[in-house]
Amino acid sequence: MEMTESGGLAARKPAPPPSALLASDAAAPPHQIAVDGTARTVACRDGLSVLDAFEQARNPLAANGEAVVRVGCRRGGCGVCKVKITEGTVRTGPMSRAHVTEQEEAEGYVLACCAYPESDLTVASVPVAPRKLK
Amino acid sequence: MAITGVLRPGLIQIRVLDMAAAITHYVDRIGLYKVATGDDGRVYLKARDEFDHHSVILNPSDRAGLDYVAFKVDGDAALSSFEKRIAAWGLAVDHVPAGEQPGIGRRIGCTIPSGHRIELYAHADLAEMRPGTLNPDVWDAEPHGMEARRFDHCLLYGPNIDQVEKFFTEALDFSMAERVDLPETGALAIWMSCGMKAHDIAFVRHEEPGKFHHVAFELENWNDIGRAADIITRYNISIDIGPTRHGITRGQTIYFFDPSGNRCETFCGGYSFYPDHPVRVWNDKELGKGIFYYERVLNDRFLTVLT
Ligand SMILES: [Fe+2]
Repeated sequence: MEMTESGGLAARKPAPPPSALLASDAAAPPHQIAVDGTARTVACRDGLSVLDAFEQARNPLAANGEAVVRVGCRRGGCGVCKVKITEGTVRTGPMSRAHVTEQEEAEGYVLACCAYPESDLTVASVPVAPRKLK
Repeated sequence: MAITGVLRPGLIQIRVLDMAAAITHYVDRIGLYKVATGDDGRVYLKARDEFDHHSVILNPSDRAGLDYVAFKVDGDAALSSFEKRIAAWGLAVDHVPAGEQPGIGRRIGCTIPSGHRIELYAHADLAEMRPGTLNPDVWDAEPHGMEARRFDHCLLYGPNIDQVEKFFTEALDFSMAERVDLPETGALAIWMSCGMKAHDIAFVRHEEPGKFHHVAFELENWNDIGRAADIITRYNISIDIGPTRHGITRGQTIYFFDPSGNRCETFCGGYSFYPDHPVRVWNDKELGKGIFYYERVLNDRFLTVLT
């Protein structure tokens, strides 16, 4: 029996705190994320996902009064933060293929929680799953 | 009370997008132990208070969600009897031979009307690392992470929950402990027990079949929920809600997401259930309190974000 994958006591070695992500690139100017059809722009510091940036900006609303990007699991599984990147480039982590097919990914669809800006971006909101329990 | 027939939910197989991250989450953070890795890449885990070989199976996949939940029954004769009862109830039963995964005997499976795969099995090897039985200490291996004691229950979303309720009560002898009834549309959610827990499995009505809401692990007490919250913040785990309490089941709880977006719960408490208890019912007037007793308002993310 292995006690933990990373090995017992070693597993309790401190990992870098999340704030290290924020502080690491204080010098690099944040990428700007514009939202199609709104006047809103959200700043995204290096190391943060598109969704992190929207959450930090208190998730601005689109003209229809709904959040531009909906916050769900934040880990690529639930699909509710799906957006289309219409300008700019991102690097992506693993996303559930139940929500972004390979073809959709090629067309610029991503889950915002798994997309890390490599340039300034323009994103378009994509309405997905129902927001209310019926 | 004698618990016969279905004993408890014993196995749950969850799909994960990144196995290394999943192992860190379930082992180092939630506090499970790694038992084995299969040739097909599946990873087998157990909690420290469980006697059986394993309880959680992580399945590497390109999509998150639930493969199946399996209930342990009290012996092979019971397994054969449930096979006949499930077929008589009207579901097709298939067979998974022993050896499909380490340490577990033959299983039977079926797809219930909500679209989820439910399995039953009678045999599990005893785990190498298990609670002591002669002058036992409170633990042998030192607890770590959130110190989860056992895989406890899951909540699933899908259609036809009236049929699901009938299946669990008629074919598997579960009892309904608690439900949410809406005046216009009937049962919105059901909590069902096969023993003395307030629930062993729960369902919420939802259009899309086979969806997964959460897997829950039991902690010892409310202080441990606070410690789980510390770990969630310390390691930047994606939080859903909590620490809080449910009116329904009265469990004290915190919800968060694994690195593939599957929702996990660590909880403690809840009332003891006996099968002669009347069903507790919530309606639309106090549903906020039913779901989150302290906040008293519904939360759209908790109610609608699924894998
Ligand atoms: Fe739960």
